Amino acid sequence: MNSKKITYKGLGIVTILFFIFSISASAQWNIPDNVKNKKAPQDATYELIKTGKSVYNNKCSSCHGHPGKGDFLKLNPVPGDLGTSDFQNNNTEGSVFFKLDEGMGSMPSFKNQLSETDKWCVTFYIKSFDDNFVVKGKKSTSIKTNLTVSSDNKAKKLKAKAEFEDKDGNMKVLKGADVAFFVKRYFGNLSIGNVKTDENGYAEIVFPDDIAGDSTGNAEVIIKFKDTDAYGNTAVTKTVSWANPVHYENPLNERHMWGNRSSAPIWLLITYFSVVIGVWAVILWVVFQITRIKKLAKE
Amino acid sequence: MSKVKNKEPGKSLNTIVSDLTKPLKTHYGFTPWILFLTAIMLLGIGAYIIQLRDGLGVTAMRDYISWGLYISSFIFFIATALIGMLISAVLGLIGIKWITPIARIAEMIAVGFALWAGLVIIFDMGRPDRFWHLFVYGRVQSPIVWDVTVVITYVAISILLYLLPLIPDMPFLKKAMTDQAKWKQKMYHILSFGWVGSEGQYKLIKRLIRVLAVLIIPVALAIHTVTSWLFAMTLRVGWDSTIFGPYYVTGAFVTGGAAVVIAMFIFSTDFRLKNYITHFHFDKMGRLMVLLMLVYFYFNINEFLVPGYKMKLLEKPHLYGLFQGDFALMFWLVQIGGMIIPIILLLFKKMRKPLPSLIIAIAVLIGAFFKRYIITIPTLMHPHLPIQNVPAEFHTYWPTTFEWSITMMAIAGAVLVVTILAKLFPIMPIWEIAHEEGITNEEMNEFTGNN
Repeated sequence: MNSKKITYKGLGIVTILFFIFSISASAQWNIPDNVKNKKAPQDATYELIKTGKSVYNNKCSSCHGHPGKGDFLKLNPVPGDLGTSDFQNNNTEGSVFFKLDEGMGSMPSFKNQLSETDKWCVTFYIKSFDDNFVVKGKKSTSIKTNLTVSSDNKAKKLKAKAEFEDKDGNMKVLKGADVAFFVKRYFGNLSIGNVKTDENGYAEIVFPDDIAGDSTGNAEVIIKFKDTDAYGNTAVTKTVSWANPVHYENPLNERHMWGNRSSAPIWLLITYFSVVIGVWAVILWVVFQITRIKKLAKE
Repeated sequence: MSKVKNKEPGKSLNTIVSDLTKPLKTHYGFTPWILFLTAIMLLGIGAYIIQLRDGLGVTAMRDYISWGLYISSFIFFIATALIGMLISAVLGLIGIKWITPIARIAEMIAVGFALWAGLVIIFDMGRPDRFWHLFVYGRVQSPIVWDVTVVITYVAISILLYLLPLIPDMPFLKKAMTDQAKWKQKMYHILSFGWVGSEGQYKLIKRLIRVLAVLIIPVALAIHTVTSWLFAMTLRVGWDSTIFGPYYVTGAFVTGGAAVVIAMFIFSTDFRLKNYITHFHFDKMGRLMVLLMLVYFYFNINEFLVPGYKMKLLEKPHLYGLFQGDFALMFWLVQIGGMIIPIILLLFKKMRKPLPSLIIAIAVLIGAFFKRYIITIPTLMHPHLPIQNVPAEFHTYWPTTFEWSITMMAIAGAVLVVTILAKLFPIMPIWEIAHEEGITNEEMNEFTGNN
């Protein structure tokens, strides 16, 4: 192959790679129209925006920086400043909510990490940088609900009872509501079941046998309504001892290179000290020998 | 060994002693030189006092680039000090004769620079008053503890290797320096340790020198290998290399070799010792430098071509910074001007004459200094976790006036040590030169009145 051909071939490959790269880098959000027009179940209030800000600073600012400051991370795709008018004009309340709910590429999904309310609060906070965004007073929407959870240690079952408060203030059984069960993990929550309540208001799951717990086998289970728009953020946390105990060994307890000074590897101690002592013994021997020079004057 | 060329045959003991002790008596140009060095040092001391008062904030070092000019100077000092081992130990043990007049010069450089290397490390400490914590709370697993250990050991052995060959010279000094100050004569007397030149004494001193010469080889290799491990033992772009030890050691020989050539030139002209340090010695040192630089060049190829060929994603910004980015000018100047051109030039006999050798050695030495800078700083600019939410000044580094002043003080300090040693003791071993001229121990003892 002559050099010209190689050059053309190389150029061709580079062009194709560039093309592929630019497609992958410019993957677009695909937001359905009904989502775009979706409105929050309640109006934005200053209080909710305040909550949203604290959630945002906790979860979002590490990449997006502070809205309007332009201090986002230089990643690919660019996270972008969410406070610019460009972003605000192109993203409705519904789109912002959809994006943080679903995620895309390196932008994570917050579906299970944040409650519906928190997600809306963050949305309100982000949209509050839009000059046309309307902030109103408080307005309650959801009905008052209650969850009670009982456990069956033998069968490793969790049973949730759902109730709601009717107009007269009496607690009634809540039928046909989706109850979601999660195990609390280090990052976010792990879903272990979604069950509709029966006619008596009960939803029951069997605890999976492959869940890792702490050293005594304890795990925290969070039970809440799936449809928080309708039933609110009622949630119950229950600690069960049915998980598999996991023993974490602290590597600092053994002799390692990365251990503290009292747990240095034996071989290293022997090597270091024998070399140091050996070399310095020779040095001191030489120094001592210098004093012998005088004695040898007569020989 | 073949008979040394260019050397005037049959120097008498009288000539040797007077030639080598004359520079200790005449002080032409000595005072301005000492004043010059002292001025630099005073400036540095002033800067260091301010640094002690205000903290390391007076330097340009910040959270990310936390090793700067001080650490790169430290490696440079250690590197320069390593030449003592190569010349007086390795070449001496092999039995190479032409090193006799320059071995002590190499050892003086080793003592001066190793001593100041230890001090430069302390300049880099924010709390030098806690230096002793290292000995009390240090972890044996830490390369920093190893480094402090070997630096101290190397300084001790270097001082002994300087001192021991000096002992047989003391009777000559006692005799030749009678017109000098009392304290000097007293010092020569103490340092003679009762030397009279008996056969037993010669046997002992030769044995001790040989033992230390053998011992210093592994210690010297350790000092620079451990210094390289301060870098290579960390998982950092550009430092995470298995050949860092030999890469540093060979680089050190080049640095120290250049320092010795410069010192040879200054001493041979200023001390009027051109009959001792001759064109022949410059020629030999030039050849040695070519060999050392070729080995170093080989390690450089490995150090940059291997990662450069793979261009791992994390190393890419670092390597691009060196090859064609912010550090490209310094990098190529150092590699080409401080290594490749000197290799080519020194291949020619004309270039191994004293003056061309001096100019080439200065280029090599300056290149060596900035090579350490290039090894230290660019890596710190490319941490594995992105630098974020920090002030703009944290992203860049260029040493402040304080850092330059303190570094210049260290260089002046090391040169001052060499100067003072050269003014108190002959820069060549009188007894060994005499031996080479075929003068026997008896003749020497007769001269000093010790028979």
